[in-house]
Amino acid sequence: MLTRSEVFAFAKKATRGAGFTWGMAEEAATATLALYIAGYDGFSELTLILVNADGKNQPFSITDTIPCGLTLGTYLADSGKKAGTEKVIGHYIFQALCGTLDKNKPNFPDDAPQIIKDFAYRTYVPDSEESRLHGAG
Amino acid sequence: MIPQVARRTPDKVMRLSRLGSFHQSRISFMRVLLRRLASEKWRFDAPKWNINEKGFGHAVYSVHGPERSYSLVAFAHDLPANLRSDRVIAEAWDCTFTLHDGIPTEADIDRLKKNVPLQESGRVSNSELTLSRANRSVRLWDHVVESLATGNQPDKEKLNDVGYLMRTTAVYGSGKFGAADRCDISDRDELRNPFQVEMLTVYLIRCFVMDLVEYMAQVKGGNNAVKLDTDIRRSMGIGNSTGLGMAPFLVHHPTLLNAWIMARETALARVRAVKSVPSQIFDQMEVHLKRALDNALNWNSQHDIQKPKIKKLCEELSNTLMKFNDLRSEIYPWDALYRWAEKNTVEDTQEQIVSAIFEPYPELVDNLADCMYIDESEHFKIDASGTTNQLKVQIETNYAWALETDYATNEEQARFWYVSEAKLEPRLGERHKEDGGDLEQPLAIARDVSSLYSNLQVDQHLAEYLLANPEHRHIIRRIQLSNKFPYSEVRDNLLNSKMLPIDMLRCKLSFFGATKFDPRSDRWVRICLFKNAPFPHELTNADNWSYGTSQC
Repeated sequence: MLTRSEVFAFAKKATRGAGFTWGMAEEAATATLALYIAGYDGFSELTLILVNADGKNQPFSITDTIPCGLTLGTYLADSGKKAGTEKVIGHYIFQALCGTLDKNKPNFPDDAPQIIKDFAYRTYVPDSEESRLHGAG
Repeated sequence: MIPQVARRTPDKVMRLSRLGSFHQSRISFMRVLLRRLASEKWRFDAPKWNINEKGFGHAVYSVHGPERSYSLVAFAHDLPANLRSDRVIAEAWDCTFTLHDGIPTEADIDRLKKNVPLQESGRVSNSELTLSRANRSVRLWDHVVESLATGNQPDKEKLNDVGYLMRTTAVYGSGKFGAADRCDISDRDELRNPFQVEMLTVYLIRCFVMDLVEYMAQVKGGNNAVKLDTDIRRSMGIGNSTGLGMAPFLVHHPTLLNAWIMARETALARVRAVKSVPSQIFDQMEVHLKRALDNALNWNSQHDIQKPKIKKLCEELSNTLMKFNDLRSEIYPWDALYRWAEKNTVEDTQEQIVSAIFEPYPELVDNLADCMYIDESEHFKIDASGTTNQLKVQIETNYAWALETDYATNEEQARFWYVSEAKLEPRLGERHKEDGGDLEQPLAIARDVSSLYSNLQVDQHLAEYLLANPEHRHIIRRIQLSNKFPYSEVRDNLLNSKMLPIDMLRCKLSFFGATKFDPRSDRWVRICLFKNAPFPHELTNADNWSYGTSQC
């Protein structure tokens, strides 16, 4: 079973790897963790947002027909507003950010899905001759 | 209300050169732990010893507090010399460890046996609190075994040169590799203070290592073998090799950093406000300063930066001791001493004096250790109800230091922090020589504040600004924290070509209680933990062991 800190770390890196900024990645990781604590499949919900965002220019507009739930959810939370009946990509992440979640028994996954790992992998830098010479670890 | 002078300002304290000059003190986490073990009369079971005559197998060290028990499960391995490495990239070690929450069953031991020796490649459960490993200091280990086996004590000078028989190369906690998360245990009285499980792990590792060396001597020497002399045994700590992986911690945990520094600065402010000092307290302080000097004189390092620092520390501590008698007639003598040190000594000596003057004042200092924990998640949310002009004022108030620098120069952006694909560990790259700058971690605090500040041209609601400019979101979160937490930010450019990561390591390690800080480059160090600490049967409420007791 993954720990809370592992869920948070995977979600933050994956969100950054999909092209969101670090600040937005922190929000996404917090929301993903909140979903697992409330008994939801946080990574699957996050994946909806990351797949939609992948390769697109940011920041996203909140006036899109079906906006990004991470972007709109963060904006509403910043503005002190609660989620209404908006249709968004990543409904549960959106709810975790600015709405309400039915609380169920925490349900942490055994591992992160490969797609989350693949997005997270994009934030890593391969070793180079120069970095090996510095012997930093 | 306890009287205190004004705390030192963040601009003075939060510079890398000063943070990199910190020394252990009464509020260091290992001392907090041992005070608790002593005052609560924790019980230590005799170890369950399953180590064979070649020195391989496992042992369990269980301890019992007022409410709960904890057990170090130690595995000793057959490690070929060519695989012994302190690097985090190593894949095999002399010994591996975990701290189990409670008393492990046989099934737990079987499970741990399959995972703990693998370290990062294995998996522990939320019944484990830490994961760690250690390697022998080979020459010293062999010397001690050989000496004890033939009925002799080892050479004190050789032991003192190194200070430990094994050094750990990682002590993972807080949800790493399956171990319990910090929030699972932070409501326990005994674990609320930071790094208590890590410190307990290392303390028990030290017990195991000393038992193992004596056991191996006994196997080798039979009836001729002797135990280590009590004073020699106590003088041995546990080494630790720490690299860059630890450096970003202080930046990733701004509210926690504030809590640590605030406790230390408040302790200093309280002690400086002590008006009159009885002569026996002066005597105690003099003894402690002599021990600190003794510690400095026996502090070995071959590193070009550290060597002159130690030399200067020794000279200036000697001068401080000469000055000491003049203080006896002064009112507010510790304030006078601190002011004198500010004018006449370097930061390293000043910070040693800061730690030293805490020593005779447990009643003013020790309870501040209880303020060194914070629930970081409570301070995560950005307050976006204000305007960007308000944000601008916050930057001008708390980040003037960051606005002074021209980040367009190569020198000020020479480095970038990244996570390596090979070991998933933080690394520091050379921006103008290496690829990967586009994958930079958000540790460029000073540069990012400056960039945000230049971008704040038109006053608008912060929520609207954040929507249009999400690239500044992480730094705006920090800026808001700095309002409530004055010591939350290292006030230097962490990308500068001359920045020394070891300064961040020393700051954190001093809060652990480490001594003998010995840089091996600008980005990794060896240190010693629990040197001179009492073993379980020697624990008392007298917390006076930090620099040994040889001067008493």
